[in-house]
Amino acid sequence: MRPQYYLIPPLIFLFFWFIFPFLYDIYMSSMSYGLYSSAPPQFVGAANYIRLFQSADFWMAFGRTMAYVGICLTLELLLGLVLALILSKEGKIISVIRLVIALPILMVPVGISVVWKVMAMPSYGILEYITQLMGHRIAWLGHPIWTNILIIVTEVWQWAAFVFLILLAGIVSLPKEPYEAAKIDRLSDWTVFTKITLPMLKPVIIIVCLIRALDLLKFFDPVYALTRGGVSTETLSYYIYRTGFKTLNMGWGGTVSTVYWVLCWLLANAVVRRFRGVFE
Amino acid sequence: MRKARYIKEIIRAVFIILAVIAIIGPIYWTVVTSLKDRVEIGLWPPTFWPRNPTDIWWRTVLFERINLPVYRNSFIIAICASLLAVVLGLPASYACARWSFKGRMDLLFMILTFRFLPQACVVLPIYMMARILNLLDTMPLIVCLYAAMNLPIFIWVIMSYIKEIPVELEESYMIDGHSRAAAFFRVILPLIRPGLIAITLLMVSLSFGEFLFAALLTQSGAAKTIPVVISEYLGGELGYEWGKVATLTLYSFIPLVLIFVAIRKHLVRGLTFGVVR
Repeated sequence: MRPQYYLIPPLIFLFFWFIFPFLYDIYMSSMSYGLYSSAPPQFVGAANYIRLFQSADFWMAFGRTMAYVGICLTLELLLGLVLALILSKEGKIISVIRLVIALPILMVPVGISVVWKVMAMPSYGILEYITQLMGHRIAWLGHPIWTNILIIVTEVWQWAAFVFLILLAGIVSLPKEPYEAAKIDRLSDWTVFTKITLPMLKPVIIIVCLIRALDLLKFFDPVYALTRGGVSTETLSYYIYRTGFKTLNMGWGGTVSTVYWVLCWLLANAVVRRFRGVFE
Repeated sequence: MRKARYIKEIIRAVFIILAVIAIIGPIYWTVVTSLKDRVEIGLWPPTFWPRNPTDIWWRTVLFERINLPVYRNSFIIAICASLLAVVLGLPASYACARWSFKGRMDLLFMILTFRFLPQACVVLPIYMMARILNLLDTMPLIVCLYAAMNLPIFIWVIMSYIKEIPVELEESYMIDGHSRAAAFFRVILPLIRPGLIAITLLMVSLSFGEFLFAALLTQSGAAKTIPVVISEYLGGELGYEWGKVATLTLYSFIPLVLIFVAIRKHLVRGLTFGVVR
């Protein structure tokens, strides 16, 4: 038996749940197609795509998704890296603190997003109370800027812990010799960091950025839990949910899905292949 | 020189304390909210510790009749999906770890790419297909979807475990007249068992928290999972039910903590497709 045959069952399975729906997306995107509407689906060719690329809603959702990816990734990486660095020495207290820092990834994402919502609620939320004590009462769920900040905080709060855990594992497993040599040469902490730690840690940083960036493209749970896409927080995932399940416009939903699918497929492929050395 | 080191230590300590407060804060607030009654949750100014701690949410959420099938669903779906991924992925991981053949890396990278496709861009067609096939709101549908989501992780990580085992162990066993299948079950499987169990549990915990598919493809007690119920507490007849949200979030925290403790040595490796050990 040839070894390729072993890959056939998982590939068929993955094709069935990811490629076949994509083909169905393309089919829907060529139709004017309302779910439960009395009018039968009608072939409209590329009309949906032409409208999509002129649609302000789509570009807003697209831009916002990309902004979330960029901002959240930067913050998560910075926080995760700093925490991993200062908690890299062994010790009893330190191992307890490490455990505490890792807790957020053990919360169900929707659950913790909803908890952020209760903290941000107007007229009884603790966040509003704290900001009042600091002198300026903020309506966390009522103003686009503050709501976007809240959503980013929710996401970063949960996933900085993920970056932290992986970078910590990377730092702990680095060889010790270069650090001993650096001590003898009396190099400053900054030099040690930029000349020794960072280069050796590069593969780990790449993989963690890759995973987080591509996962952030899916951004959905905090938007659903906190704002239901209101107050300028709609992402591409939420946009598809809204067109498909709220306005029941399957033709439009299929169009957005097709574009989104292609975008993510190309991005994931490009990124994974660019850094294939890390995987081999 | 010494003074500079003290300052550095102080900055470090301050940063750690701030981080711990930031992490603990929301978790603490979840606990406090779950212990407050409906009136106190809506009070201004908010109380930092419940004046009359109540266990009403802890009791109602756990024993609410409509929730019982949901707990069952959550566990059955997460476990079945992980086992399905094991069955589908194990032979593939073995083949990719042991033989090099044309297009091996290309196929593996393609499998990895599936891991990064958002649920949202396939959920509409899956909804349409499931409606026609009468699979909407059933557990098998969700099980298959979660298995498909986790399959790429599983294949990659288990491949890295198998690669670590010297080929000679297997070959010497086969020289004694045993088949390759026997070598796999008698030699490889016992050696990768800790990793295999850990990654299966990791997939269970990933499925356990998944929201988008569950929320859009299930409606009733037949297949609904815990995250869906959490989100439903926000839009029911009783308005926002914060106490229940907080309590259910804490309940669902428990199995995830247990899994975390059990697999912590394998966790990072599992989360990074076997790249970071």
